[in-house]
Amino acid sequence: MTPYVVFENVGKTYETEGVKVNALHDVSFEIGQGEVCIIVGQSGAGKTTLLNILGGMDTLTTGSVSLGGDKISAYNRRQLTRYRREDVGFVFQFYNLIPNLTALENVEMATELAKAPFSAKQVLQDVGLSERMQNFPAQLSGGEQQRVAIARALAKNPKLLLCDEPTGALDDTTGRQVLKILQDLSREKGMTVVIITHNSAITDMADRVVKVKNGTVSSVRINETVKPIEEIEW
Amino acid sequence: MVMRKKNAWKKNQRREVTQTLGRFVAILAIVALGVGFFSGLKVTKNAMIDTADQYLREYAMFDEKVMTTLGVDEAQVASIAAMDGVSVAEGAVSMDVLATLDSGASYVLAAHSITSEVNKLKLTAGRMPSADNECLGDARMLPLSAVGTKITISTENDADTLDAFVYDTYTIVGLTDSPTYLNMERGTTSLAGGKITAYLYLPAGGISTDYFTELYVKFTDANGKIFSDAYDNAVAKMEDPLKEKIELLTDARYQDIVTKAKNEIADAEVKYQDGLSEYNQQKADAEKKLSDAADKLADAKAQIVTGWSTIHSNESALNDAQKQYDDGLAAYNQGVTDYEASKTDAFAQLDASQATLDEQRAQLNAALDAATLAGDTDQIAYLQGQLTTLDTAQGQLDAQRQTTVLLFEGSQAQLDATKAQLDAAKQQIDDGTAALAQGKSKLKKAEEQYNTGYQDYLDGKAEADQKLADAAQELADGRKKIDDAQTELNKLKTPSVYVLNRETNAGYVNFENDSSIVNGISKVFPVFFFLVAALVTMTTMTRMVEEQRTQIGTLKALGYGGVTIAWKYISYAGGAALLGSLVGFFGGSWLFPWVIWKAYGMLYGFAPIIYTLDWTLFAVSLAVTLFCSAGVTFLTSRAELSLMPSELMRPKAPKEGKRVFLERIPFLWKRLGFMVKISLRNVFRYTKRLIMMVLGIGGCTALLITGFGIRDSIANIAEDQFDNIMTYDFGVVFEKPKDAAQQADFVAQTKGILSSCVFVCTDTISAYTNEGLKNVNVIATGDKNITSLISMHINGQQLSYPPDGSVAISDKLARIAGVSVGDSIRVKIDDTREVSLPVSAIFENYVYHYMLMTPATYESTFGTACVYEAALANSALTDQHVAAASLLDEHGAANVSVTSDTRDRVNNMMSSLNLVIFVIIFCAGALAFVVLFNLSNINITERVREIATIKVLGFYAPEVGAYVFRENLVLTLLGSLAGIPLGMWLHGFVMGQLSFDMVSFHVVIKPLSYLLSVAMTFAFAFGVDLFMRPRLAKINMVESLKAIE
Repeated sequence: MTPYVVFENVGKTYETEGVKVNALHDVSFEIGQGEVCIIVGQSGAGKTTLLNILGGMDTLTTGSVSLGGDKISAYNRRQLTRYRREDVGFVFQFYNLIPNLTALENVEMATELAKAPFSAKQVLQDVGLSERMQNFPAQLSGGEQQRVAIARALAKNPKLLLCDEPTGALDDTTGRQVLKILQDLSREKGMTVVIITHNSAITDMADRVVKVKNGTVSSVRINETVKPIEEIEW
Repeated sequence: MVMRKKNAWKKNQRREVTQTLGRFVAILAIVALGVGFFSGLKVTKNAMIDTADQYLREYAMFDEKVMTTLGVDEAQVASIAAMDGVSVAEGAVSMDVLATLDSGASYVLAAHSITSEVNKLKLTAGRMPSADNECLGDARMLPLSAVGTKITISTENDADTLDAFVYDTYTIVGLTDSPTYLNMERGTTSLAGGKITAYLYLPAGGISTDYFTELYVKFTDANGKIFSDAYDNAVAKMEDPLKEKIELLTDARYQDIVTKAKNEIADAEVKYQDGLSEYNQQKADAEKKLSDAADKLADAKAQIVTGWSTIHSNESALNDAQKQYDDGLAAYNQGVTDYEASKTDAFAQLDASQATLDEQRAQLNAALDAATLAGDTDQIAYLQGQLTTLDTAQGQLDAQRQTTVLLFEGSQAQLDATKAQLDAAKQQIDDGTAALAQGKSKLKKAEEQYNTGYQDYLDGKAEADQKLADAAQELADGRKKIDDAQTELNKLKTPSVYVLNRETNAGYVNFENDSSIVNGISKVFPVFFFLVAALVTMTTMTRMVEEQRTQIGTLKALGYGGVTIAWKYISYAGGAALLGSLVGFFGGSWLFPWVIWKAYGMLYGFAPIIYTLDWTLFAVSLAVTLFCSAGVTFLTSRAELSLMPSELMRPKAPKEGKRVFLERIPFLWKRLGFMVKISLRNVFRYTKRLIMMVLGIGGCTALLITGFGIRDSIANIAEDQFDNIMTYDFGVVFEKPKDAAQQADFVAQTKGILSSCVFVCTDTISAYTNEGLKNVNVIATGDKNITSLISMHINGQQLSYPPDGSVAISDKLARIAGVSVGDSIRVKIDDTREVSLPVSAIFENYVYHYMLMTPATYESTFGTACVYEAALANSALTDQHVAAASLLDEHGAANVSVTSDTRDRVNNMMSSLNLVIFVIIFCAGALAFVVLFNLSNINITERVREIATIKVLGFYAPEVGAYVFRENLVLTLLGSLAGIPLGMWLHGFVMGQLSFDMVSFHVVIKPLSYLLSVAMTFAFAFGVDLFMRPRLAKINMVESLKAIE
């Protein structure tokens, strides 16, 4: 496995009003291309921080992060924006769709940006929302909204798909649907998917599991056999 | 339960303000704008009135001006002064006079005597007069350089006026304002040209008349503010008693005068009669003396004549005698000569005869002898006989000789006698001649005496005649005087009394009108701002409450009551409103009066503006703004606050996306860019915000259009008037009117200076309008070329000069008099005559009111023929003032007004309005800024999540900015479009309110102004964009996207 994503001694310290908060320290791990990697840990462990650094939304204090050989941590603002624009697809816990745009338009927002996007309609169809393209987010269920979000992230044809607690606001069934899509993306399209969760039960679906505790990586596990979603119970 | 001090709570409140300062300030600012406009505009009238009130109070403007047809004397003044309720009574003399200033130009000036207790003067330059031949000039009409120069009273004034002025020249030692002349109106006069140019104040000793031309009175109780009911009532109360008293006094004086006059006439009559009889007596005496003398002289003359005739007859007799003598002498001489001759002849003959005889004898003798000898007896006898014959002959001859001798002796004796006669005659003649000469010289002497006597007589007669004639003349004069006096006395009407209060003073009345102008505007502007303020507050506070939903829910869950929580927001908004009201109130109460007073500076510069704070206005505006802010907040938060805590703590369902109506036109919708679609959707999503933005931006554009429009309408007034309507370069007034020949003369003489010249007859009348009596300039001329100097047109159509019997009037006059073409306008020719004149044309005009007519119309209206004392002219020369000076110096003009000077003056007046426009533009910008800022603020805080999302999506910073502010641009566009009709209406409304007395405005908005207004609105929008961009950059993706936890 070629290391696609490399974290090397990454540390992150927040300073607000004279109070220093050490969110991450000595974080080092790798993710291979086309893997589903789940980063798991309790609330406040630092996993979101980690994801944000990887997603180019936050800067690190020490260490370095590289994606496919490119040192992301050395990027300036503009480069980071371009990185986010072209190389990263982000899926949030609370969907963060533009409420004033239809599902299709939300995806089109992303396709207008990317260099070599997929067809917005196609991607929506892929996530099973061909019937819902003209609906506003307010008219969609939570799962449908999340699927739109995924479609949006996907349509950009990014190198990396980052998902922060994608199923956190969804019920069981819907959550599974979403995870299945993510898994299929990795398997069928070879997309590198990184998922953050506090639910250790789903770690079985991943190729790699990174445990984060107290701001640092406590363990990295590689699953030889990846279980399909349908078989996982939580 | 013990009520704690709620320190944490208070901290929360305070922090709320400091942490969302932008929001707080936005509300503050918009409220300040609204309150500023409202209180500022409304207080301006009061501020102006207070200013004038203080000035008129300090300088003691009269309450009543009393004039009678008989004038007022000292006694009357004292009498009035002693009246109950009268605090001041002072007499003064006023007179219109033609005078020449240092510059050489002649003007009609209103001269007044300086009074000490009323109508006090405010010096603006120089000093008060210390000598009687010094004076003060009009501070508003004369330049500073006039101080130190002299005024000369023109000899063209009538005798009474010339008498009144003690000196011929007066030196201007200072310039002054006068409370009776608040503005630039100086009044009209019957003297040349009809317009008074400036006033003059002279010390009482500089003007002398037998009585005062007016009496100024001030009442003790008339202390109210000017224009107030209190003042008007106090004056009204005293007016009648005053009038009665004056009438009584004047009547008494009238009776006095009449009686005195009658007595004087009677005395004069008596004197006259005495004089007459004395005259007659002396005349008779003189005549007698003279006639006696004449008689004597006549006698003398007769004598002389007789003497002369005697002498003449004597002389002629003498001459005759002389002639006779001469003849006689001549005859005698002739006679002598003849005698001699004949004697000689005779004796010669005799001698000859004798000789012959002798000879014969001799012969005979000889013969005898011979004979004798010869003894020839026959012969001898013969010879003897011969001898005897001879003897006989001899004897005859002797006898002849004897006779001859006797004859000649007789003749001789005759001759001698004749000679003796002649000698005697000669002697007589000589005597006579001598006597004649004597007599002549006597007569001559007598003649001389007579002549002298006659001359004396003539002299005496002449002297007497002269003296008598003089006396007769004196008597005749006296008679005439007495007769005239009697006629005058008969003509003397019972006196009229005029008691005129301040309402008759042009400056006073116009001030009230002008100070009210702003009032009209103040009804519209503030409403608009308050509306926007309400909307801004509403949207802001709604947003704020929504934003803090969770917080509210939490607080509720904690146990804080709904009212306490609500109070936080109400006090936030209320606090902002209170502060804004204070700022607006003080700011507006200072700024607006100051700006407007400055704009009026040209007209009313008499004192600096007094700033008044009208706390009632503050109370009203505060109430309104508090309602708009706190009240609105209360209403909007009520909904939220009534919810259960748990509901509040759950995120509010985001507002549904709405389809825009434009989407229904797929044709258009497809063509729009993606981002534009998003922006459009966002724009129409929130109705309240949409309205607020459109109103705010529209208001901004409307204000800008109004501001620029005011400048367009006003700024060009000079050009419009003097380039397109009254296009003449000079208005020339002559000291004496010119007849047709003199006019042609003038034109010929000034060919090198003037390219065209039209003689006009001018006058000033008053027209009845719905704003009272207004002065109208009348121009009458028969010269067709007038149309090249005064262009009459309306709505692009050229109009023709009115025919006989009709008049053409200016459009504003037509408007305020309520007449159109075909109607008749009612005018006052003078105090007693009124007439209606049919209107044949109404023409565009911007300065003053004009009425044009033909000479025939003039004559039938005024009752006198046209008198051409003025001319309008054009000059091709580059230096107009040189041309004007030449007309003054060399061509007999008394006064030349150069149009370019008037144009400059009007432009200066208008330029002071630039300040007003600047304020308007500033407020427009502030309005746009506040509204846009507020909206952007709300948008950003509301859609932080959205913005963070697109940042995550990879929007570059400019793209993020565009995403947010594209909506603002769409709204700005919509707003400006809405603002254009609003601006046109507002501009029309303001122009309607801006009604200055003598000026009408061409209500126009130039296309450039529209462009500028929209462009500036967009500029303000861009300004807000730039201001807000840092905010966007600051949005932390990570923080914003965190779940609501």
